[in-house]
Amino acid sequence: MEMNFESLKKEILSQLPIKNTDSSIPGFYAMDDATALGKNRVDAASALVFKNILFYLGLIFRYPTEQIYSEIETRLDTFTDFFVDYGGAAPQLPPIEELQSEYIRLFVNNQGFVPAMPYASCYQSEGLLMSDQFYRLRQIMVKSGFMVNETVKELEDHIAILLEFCAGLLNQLASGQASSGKSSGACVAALMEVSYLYIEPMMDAFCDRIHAYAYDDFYKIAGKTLKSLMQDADTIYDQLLGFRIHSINELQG
Amino acid sequence: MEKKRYAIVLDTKKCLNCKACTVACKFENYVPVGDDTYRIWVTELPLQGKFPHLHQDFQPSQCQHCENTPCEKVCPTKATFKTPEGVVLVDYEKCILCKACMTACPYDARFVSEHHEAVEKCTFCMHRVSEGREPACVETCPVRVREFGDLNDPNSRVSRLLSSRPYMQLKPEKNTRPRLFYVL
Amino acid sequence: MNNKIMSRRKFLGLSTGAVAGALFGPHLNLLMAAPEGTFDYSILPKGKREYIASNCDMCVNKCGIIGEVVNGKLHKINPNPKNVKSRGMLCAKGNAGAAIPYSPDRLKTPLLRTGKRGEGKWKEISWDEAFKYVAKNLADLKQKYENRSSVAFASTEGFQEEFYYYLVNSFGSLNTVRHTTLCLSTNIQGWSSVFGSFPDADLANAEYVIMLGSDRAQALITPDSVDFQRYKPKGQKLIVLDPRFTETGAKADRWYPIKPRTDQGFVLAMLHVIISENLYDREFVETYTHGFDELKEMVKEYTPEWAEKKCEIPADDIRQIAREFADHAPRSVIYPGRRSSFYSHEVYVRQTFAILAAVCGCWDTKGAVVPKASIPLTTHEIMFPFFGQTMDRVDKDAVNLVKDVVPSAVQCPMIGTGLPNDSCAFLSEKDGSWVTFREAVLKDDPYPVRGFFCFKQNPVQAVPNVQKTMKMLEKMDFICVIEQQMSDTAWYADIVLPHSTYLESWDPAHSLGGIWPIVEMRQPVIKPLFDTKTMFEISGGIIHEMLKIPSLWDDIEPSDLEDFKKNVVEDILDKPIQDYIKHQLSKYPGAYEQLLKEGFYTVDGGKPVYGTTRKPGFLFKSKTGKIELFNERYKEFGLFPLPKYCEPLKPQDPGEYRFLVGRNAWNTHTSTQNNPYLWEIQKENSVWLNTGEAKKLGIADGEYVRIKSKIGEQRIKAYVTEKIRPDCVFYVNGYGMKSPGMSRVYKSGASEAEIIDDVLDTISGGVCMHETFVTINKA
Repeated sequence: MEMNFESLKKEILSQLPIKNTDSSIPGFYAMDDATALGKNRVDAASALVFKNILFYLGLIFRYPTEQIYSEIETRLDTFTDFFVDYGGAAPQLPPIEELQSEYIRLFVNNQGFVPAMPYASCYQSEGLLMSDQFYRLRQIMVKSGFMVNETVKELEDHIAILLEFCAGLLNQLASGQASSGKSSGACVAALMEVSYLYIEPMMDAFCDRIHAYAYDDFYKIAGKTLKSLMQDADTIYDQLLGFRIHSINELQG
Repeated sequence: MEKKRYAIVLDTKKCLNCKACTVACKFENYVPVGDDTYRIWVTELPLQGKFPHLHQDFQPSQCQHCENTPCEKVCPTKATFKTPEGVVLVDYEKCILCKACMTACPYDARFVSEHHEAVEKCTFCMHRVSEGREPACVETCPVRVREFGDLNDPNSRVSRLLSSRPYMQLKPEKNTRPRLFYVL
Repeated sequence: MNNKIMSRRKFLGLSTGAVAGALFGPHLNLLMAAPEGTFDYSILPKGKREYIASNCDMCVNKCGIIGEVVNGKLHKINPNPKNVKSRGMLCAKGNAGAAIPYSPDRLKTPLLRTGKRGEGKWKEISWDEAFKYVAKNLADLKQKYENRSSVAFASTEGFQEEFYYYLVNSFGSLNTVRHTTLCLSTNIQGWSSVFGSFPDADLANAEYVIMLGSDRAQALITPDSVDFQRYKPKGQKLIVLDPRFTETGAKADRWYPIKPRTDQGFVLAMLHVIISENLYDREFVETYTHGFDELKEMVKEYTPEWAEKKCEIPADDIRQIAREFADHAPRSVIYPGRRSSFYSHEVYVRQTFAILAAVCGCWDTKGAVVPKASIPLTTHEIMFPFFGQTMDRVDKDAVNLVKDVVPSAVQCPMIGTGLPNDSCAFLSEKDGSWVTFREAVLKDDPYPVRGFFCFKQNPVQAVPNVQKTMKMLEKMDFICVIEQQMSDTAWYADIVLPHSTYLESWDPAHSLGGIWPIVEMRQPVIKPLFDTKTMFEISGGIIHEMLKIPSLWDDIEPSDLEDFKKNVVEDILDKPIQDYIKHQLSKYPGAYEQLLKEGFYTVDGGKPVYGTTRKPGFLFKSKTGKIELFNERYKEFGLFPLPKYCEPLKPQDPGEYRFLVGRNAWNTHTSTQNNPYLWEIQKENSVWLNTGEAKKLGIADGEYVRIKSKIGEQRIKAYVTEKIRPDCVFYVNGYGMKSPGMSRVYKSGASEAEIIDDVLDTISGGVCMHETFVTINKA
């Protein structure tokens, strides 16, 4: 499969809502045998591809401003096969005004309730924002060298940020940045934790609610794609990192 | 100095049935929202009489911190234990969720907590007490239905209430010797 | 299955070099939260813990709170044990406030409507765009209607409301409408007609208390709900008259299921006994009151035997209560309460209460009814411009407007025909009257109102007769709602501006009057979660954009504009709000620092204040300067100067029940039911139906019924009980929201706005929420 996302990467990196902070922050998770996961073991090329996939999905779950909309539109063809593979169809982008109101209706504000809350916290404990696990996520981000850009007034566990964070971690792994500045084990651990303790637990309810409440197919397909991608995450990670986990329980030890 | 003997004395005649205590407890102790998860509750006792001669009482209740402790006796892992002050607690690490204690409790005061992954119940807010604060339910109550304190201190509010007012305890026939006293 | 996964992953490019997953075991263990280890009484998460003093905003009481913040997240709201008003309590709602900032449903960013109204199509806009948009619409409305009052501004009480009025006054509309007429305007009016002000009751010291229709055990008011049980003096007697056996009734020494709207007759008969048996406080009456002889003459006919027929309370009991009340005076309280939006002519009911307090001298002394004392703050001396294009209030000449909402049966029985010619004359201009205002807007009389701003009010749910409110909204060219959540009203707006929660805001200092006067303010307990602002910032933002549009300032003197820019914009709105607060407190050194630390400020150690009006020569706010048992102004306006008994409305058909509303201790109006911690206490409401009536109708407890008024119909569960009179039914408000979908209270139970008729009290402009008759049928 011929896919090169380098140009996309460059463009998109400039718009990241999360920014790379001081990379000299030591890794949070000291790894005794960090070398076991040295950069040679990471399938860097695939990791970059997967990174771009996650990044693009992150874009899709952001509010479609004109800039984001045009980014989604421009790159949609590139990802068509991916959507067909995972979501069963190629999404058709509706006009921007439709997409914006659909986004707000599903994810931001609706009368009385938000059908598909995009925050991981809402799928934990009381369905409220900033659950007990939220602070932990913030810690992982900071320790991995990321924080939410000051100009972005959004919570760290928004699905778009989570996806982008994973993309950022994959980028660190692929570029070898993680193994030089800090433990790549920490990087992988962060990736696993975010994937399996924050993204994966919200997938069923989040994506199913999109499916139930969306008027337009675009988010339905995006949701379905995201859900089946996450179902496939352990085998993907196995391939990228030479490592797989079988359940959240395993991750929790 | 003699060791403390903690107790709660309730003057339920004052209870407004306002539920402030139950909500305060949920936040304080990370008790999840849900009909089956509560450490404390307020029961509307049956309405007495016929219109227009009516009477109704409201009865807050919770773990009774029994001196004769049925839940402790049945716990196979010694997860349920009594502190020197007589507070019945659960060591969440040791709890294997066998629920024997839930069956043994005559007051239905225990439930399975997702937060702790253990059976849990009222702790008399010992984490607050150890900081010199009152249990959350005691503090928040508009009319001060509950008083918390040391039975061994004759000047404590609980001791003074018990020496000046008649009281009852819940399910005396179970011979549990609760540390909760309901003044009449 | 395997094949499928392989095919899906084909784009990744196949890679080998698998490392056994087991290698990760040790590191993954590090991902776990630190085990708690041995039990050390510490279940709080490790991390930074802070305690920040502020004040609650879950209802009007503004009780003292201490936010317990762990790692930047509000873990719990504790009561402030030192606050002299809330007495160290915090109710269920106050506790559940800790979930408010974390509601995923809250408004997060300004939203602009892109579809039809109510269709639910929005786009996100920046605050800059929002301010521009609002300012432009204000300019357009002014241009089109050449009348600044063509834009109406609704709001409800709250610390930030004063900054909403900066916006109102900067635009120059006189059409403002507040919550008062939905709640306690009749109470304020009735008590003020006698004493010139609306007092509090000293329940902590009263020996004898009569509560008529106030449910202090559930509709919580601080300090009253605390005092009436916790601090009541030994031997205090509590008499409760209420068609329902409320939690307050359960606390009473005696409860009487009084026939609705006959409270006035009960109290008139008490006056009859007290005056005819010479039990009143002669010295007080002579020193402080005006019109005793006229009163004496009027109450002659109101014997306890007469009252027994009206209110269904035995004459002997009335006599006994009257004597006991007089016996304990001045430590006797006829309780003013708060919400009084009950019946037509409710003002006269409340006037009667006040007269009873006056003749027994139960006024402004320990254990009595006491005028509110307050700690005066320094106000900013500002003059808003005088705009040429500002017309008088749209409801100024309300007489002709409100005929439709005053049932003929109660249209001014005291003068024979027609309406009292004053109508809304006694309203505070700023408060307006919701029902009257709405009538005027619907009729375009005398001019069109086509712009509508709404700050933290939800008239679609809160104002009776929702169909009329919807029609009113439909007339608008422009609707702007400033809110925390997507309320049923915000849903119909053109632009929705998200307000920060009270736990994220700096709110100005407020002096809360009472027997225990107190000053409070708010500081942020946590950082705002989203792109929300406070009214202070929103008014500032909109006004700045307004200043860029010259046509908005073409009907004032240029020098006025310069003054406005300097005094209002530069000196106040452009400065930090802390400067504003410090100026408010400038009379009291150390007050600002104390507010930061404690959340409240008192002078004189927070002692109660008695006796300010019990001084020779004190002038009460009345025509004669005295306590008016006979109201001279009412006489001038063609009203009854003495509260002559008014007959209640009666059901038109047999089989109709009077519908009563009220609330419980775990919800405020319509705003809190969706909070998970409150929702779990009560998931839906049910209609109280007397056991005997239920039997007649063949309705079992828990069965669904249809409740129908001339306004609308709702489906709701029946609660069959002895706790209500046979001629009344009741449910608490706040359920059965219009909002579709999965909202917790959507279609759970019944809404009151859907069935309550918009009957008006003509003197105060208050709504009469208990003048609706309904039928009940099996669903």
